[in-house]
Amino acid sequence: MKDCEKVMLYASNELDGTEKAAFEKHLQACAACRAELALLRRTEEALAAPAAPASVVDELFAKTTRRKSFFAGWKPALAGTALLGLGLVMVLAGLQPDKTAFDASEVIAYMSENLDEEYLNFSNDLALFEQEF
Amino acid sequence: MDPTLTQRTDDELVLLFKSGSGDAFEELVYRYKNSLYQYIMSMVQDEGAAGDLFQEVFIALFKHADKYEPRGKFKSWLFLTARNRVLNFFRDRDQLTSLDQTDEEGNAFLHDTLPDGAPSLLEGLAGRETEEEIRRAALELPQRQREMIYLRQYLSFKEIAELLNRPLGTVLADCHRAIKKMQRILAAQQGAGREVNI
Ligand SMILES: [Zn+2]
Repeated sequence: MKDCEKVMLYASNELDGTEKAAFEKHLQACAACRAELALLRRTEEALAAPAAPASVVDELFAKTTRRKSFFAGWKPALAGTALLGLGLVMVLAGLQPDKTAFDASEVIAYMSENLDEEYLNFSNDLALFEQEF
Repeated sequence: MDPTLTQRTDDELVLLFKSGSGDAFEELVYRYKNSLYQYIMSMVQDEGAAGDLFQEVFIALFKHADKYEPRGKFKSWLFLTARNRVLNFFRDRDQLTSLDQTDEEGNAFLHDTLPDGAPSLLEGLAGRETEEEIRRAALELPQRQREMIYLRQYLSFKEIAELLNRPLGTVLADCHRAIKKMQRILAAQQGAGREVNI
């Protein structure tokens, strides 16, 4: 790596002791690197202390940690509807023995789609997450 | 909130959150909200979209923390997740720009291409531009270079290289080009005179 190419690593303190000393020597002789380093430092200052809007953070908490329990709300309702659905399926299956009865999990999955779109987003998130790791 | 939470490592907080501590989750949010929001905002440059993407990243963590493997790289995970969301955002909007392509300026280090005397001229300029001018210049950069300037605020170059899955040399060259471009933008602004409103 040429001396000038080390200016970035120097700026972010990623050079070891020997390299750092060597670069500092180069810096005294190289106006281009001094200019670059100066602007890097000024940019660090100019972009420091950002702030996320409080409303965005509050909304996030309202959707997560401070949310009225998602599962407590819909799970009993879902179970009730699913049971009702299963009952219907069983009646229909009984009347028409040739037709294969639906799997209970399919009924639940179908109903949860209609109950809360969050359920769909959940599986999308999971798929993305699994790609990432 | 438990005051000792602020002294926990990121991974410890994730583990605490997994075992049921909402406060641990909130501490993670407080720890990274400003840098993460700044990064997302610098990329999408739209407050509404930035707020949504910001929330999506933390909601993904909230829902899938059980999948997170504590390897001391929480911050990288967070920025990677944010970056993927930003890429999806542009993909959805069908306006994916050159995030993963090299720009028109090629790979050469630009010291050599500046006219004689230019470095000292640019050096003279450094320090005279205001923070507002610098922020504006950073936002004028092509997306790939802009991303570098912002990621540099929160991650080491080694971490950035890992995050972007690019060789360290490429990352350094991109950042170098970003600074050179900012020098030209600022020099042009100052050459044009400060009375000109942009
Ligand atoms: Zn140099």
